[in-house]
Amino acid sequence: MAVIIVILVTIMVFSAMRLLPGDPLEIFIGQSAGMGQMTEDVKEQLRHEYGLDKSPVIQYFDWIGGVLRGDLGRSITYRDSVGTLMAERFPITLHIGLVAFVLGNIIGIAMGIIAALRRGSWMDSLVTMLSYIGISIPVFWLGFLLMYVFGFHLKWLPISGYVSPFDDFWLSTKHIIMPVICIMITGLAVIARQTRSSVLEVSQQDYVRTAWSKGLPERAVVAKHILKNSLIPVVTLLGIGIGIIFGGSVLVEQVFAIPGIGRLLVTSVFQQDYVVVQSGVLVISFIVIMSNLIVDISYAWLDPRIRYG
Amino acid sequence: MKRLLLIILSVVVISALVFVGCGEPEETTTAPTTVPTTTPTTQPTTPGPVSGGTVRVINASGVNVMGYSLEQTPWDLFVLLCAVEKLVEYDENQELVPHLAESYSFNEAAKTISVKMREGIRFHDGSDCDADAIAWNFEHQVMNQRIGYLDQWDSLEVIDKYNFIIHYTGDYNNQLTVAWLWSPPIYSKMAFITAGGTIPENSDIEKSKDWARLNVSGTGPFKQGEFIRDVSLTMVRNDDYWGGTPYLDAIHYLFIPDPVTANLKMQAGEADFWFGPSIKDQLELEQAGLTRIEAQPSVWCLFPNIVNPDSKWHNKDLREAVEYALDKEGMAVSLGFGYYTAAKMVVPEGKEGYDPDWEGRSYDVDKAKDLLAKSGYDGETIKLMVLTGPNVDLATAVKRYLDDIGLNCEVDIADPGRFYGSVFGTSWDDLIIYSFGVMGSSLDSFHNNLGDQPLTRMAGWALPPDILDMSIESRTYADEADQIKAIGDIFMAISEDAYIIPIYKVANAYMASPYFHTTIGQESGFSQYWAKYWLEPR
Repeated sequence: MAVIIVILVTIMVFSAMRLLPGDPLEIFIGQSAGMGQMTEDVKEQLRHEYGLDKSPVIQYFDWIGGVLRGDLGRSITYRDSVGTLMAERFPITLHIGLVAFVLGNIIGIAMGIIAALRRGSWMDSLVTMLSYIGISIPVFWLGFLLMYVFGFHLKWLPISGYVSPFDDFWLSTKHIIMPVICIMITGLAVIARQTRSSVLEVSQQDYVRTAWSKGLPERAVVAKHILKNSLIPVVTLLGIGIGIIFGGSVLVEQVFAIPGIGRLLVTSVFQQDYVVVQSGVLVISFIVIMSNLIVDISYAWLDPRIRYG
Repeated sequence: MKRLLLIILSVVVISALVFVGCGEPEETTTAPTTVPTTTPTTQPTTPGPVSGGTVRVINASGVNVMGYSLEQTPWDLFVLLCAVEKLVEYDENQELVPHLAESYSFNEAAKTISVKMREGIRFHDGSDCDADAIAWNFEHQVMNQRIGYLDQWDSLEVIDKYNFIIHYTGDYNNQLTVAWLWSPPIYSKMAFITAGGTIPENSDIEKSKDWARLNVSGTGPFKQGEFIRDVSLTMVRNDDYWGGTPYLDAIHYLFIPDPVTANLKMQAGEADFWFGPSIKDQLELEQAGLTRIEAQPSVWCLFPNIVNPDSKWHNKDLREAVEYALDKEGMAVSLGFGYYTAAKMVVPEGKEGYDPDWEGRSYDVDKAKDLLAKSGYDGETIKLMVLTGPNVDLATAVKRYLDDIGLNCEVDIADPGRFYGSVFGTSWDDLIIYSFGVMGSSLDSFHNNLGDQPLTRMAGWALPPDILDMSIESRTYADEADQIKAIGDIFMAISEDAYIIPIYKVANAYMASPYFHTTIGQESGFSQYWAKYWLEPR
């Protein structure tokens, strides 16, 4: 199934890019205005060089053939191999995305549990309010707000940019705080809501009531009986969260001037740099599909009914 | 449960400590640690230029191709103009003067351009910038058809180490100086060749190209430091610069696509200079105490499609109706916040070719309606194409004025890909919003953009036959007075027939921190100007 989805994604992205009005070479020529003449001969030479003179079907199979051989193609805009571009940018998106994913899930699950266990208290109200804000707030707007408060006014954090943690860990940490908050906020809020309702539901089950009546300490009841059983729907969200992180990176990396996959995709879409967009989406879809596959497998560990079913 | 809360509390406390730790008064800069600080090294005792410091410059787009000129876009070269120079350059009075060349001269009888190079200039890699290197640069440009008027190119003859002659065919053409001596940036031949292998004869051209895409070796006042694609580019001072040691230690370019982010960085003191802020950003930053530096003006215009034989825009009455329908003064005031002025001609006021006595077409709704009726307009909706961004407001205003006279208008907002694809490739249906600016002389700018052999031809606009002849003839004048008269006649002909409909003149500007200065009057980011920028100690 996963393979079929990947193939479908490649066909959809390939077709969508071809259906866009405009020609990547014309865009390149437009940007080269002032740098010299571009005769029809040169244009055709470039068209041939990038395989754009072939029929779309042949272009598709050429691209897929290259991907299977490990060659993601060559960018018209950057004049470099897409593999190199992805290798430069992927660790950056992964760095910010992973931090956001881990923190967002830990905080989200913790908030959800607290809200459920203290149902009706001020903590529950606070978590509910914050999660609604988190779900509804536009990511780019939150980014500007954080920049304005923490970068411009308080001057605690640098407004934009990215520094590798291997070059300067503390500077890197300062740089990623605001982007991480922006990327994790939606997922965190959704997970908090889902965890709360899931924990509430499980808490009313007979076996939980039995555990309480046996006199088990709260920690044991929560950790062993409530938490593990209420995690299944939350785990489903974790797989979806990977997709949200890559989707969020498109906006966040643009706002914070971070040179990750998201920014590369935005630039390439505007330039109609076909191969970069196709390959970028292919890699992201592959990761999302693999994450969901792992999530599916983890169900069996969490729920013996699935394992033995 | 208490333990869980304790764990959460611990996480919050640790996070807060990290957060507070981040707030220590360190220098908050996005520059890599290897970049010099922004504090000038020499404290001035009297007002005036001082050496030292790194200027942090914001540019919206990054450099895609560094030193391989055959694949560069003007945006790439714009950033690299502190490192790469040309044979002739525009001086601060916007006149072409010899730069890497010591002198040049035309011989109309022999059909030659003789160029004498300045002696002793070296590229950043240490190799000589001599006639042989120039010949190599031209060989690439000609072979790949990257320079204009190739039909007149014959050959380049190297006379000795510092002298060469370009042989051309056909009549004298005053545009050859711009097309051949100013247009091509000059790169190091040796750096390119040795990048492909230490033995020049066995050099691998593909390796050289790969190297040149990520590296630049020119003759300019700054040479390449650290380049992180789409993040930053640091250009460090070239202490051996032939034009005198530059004041600045380095120029640190930050590539920031979002204008809100760029604005905040300027206000927060995380950047010193910003190329390309919108008028709103200029005003906001000016109010915040930053300096506004005006560059060359341009005129935003409506370009009707007059290439398509079936286009309704061949009708002069229709074109005139559009121009009379526009309240240019009103748009200039409301959209330009006092910095724009209504334009009567496509050439900016004050430039050669501008006729102050030409009345133009002032806002007159009745006249516009009469002309529209006379044109036989059938009520069909016309499309007004505009690039997404600040000009959408202008397009909306134009639409409103055209609707007022009964000309149904639909604004077509295009992303850069579709917009430039339409301008230079597939053409546009009716009207497009585009600008015309003058750099150097009006005649040169006209020929570069609108002439009979422009550097890149617009797909929907071309000179009508009568003006085409005037354009060709204007290239044959050697005398400056004749050139000025010729370009005046051309712009008047375009204005009289409303082939281009000017709206307002925009004073393009850059924003700079108050401690950023230059020793020259004109700041346009050209290589020789970068050597004259300096930072005041803070």
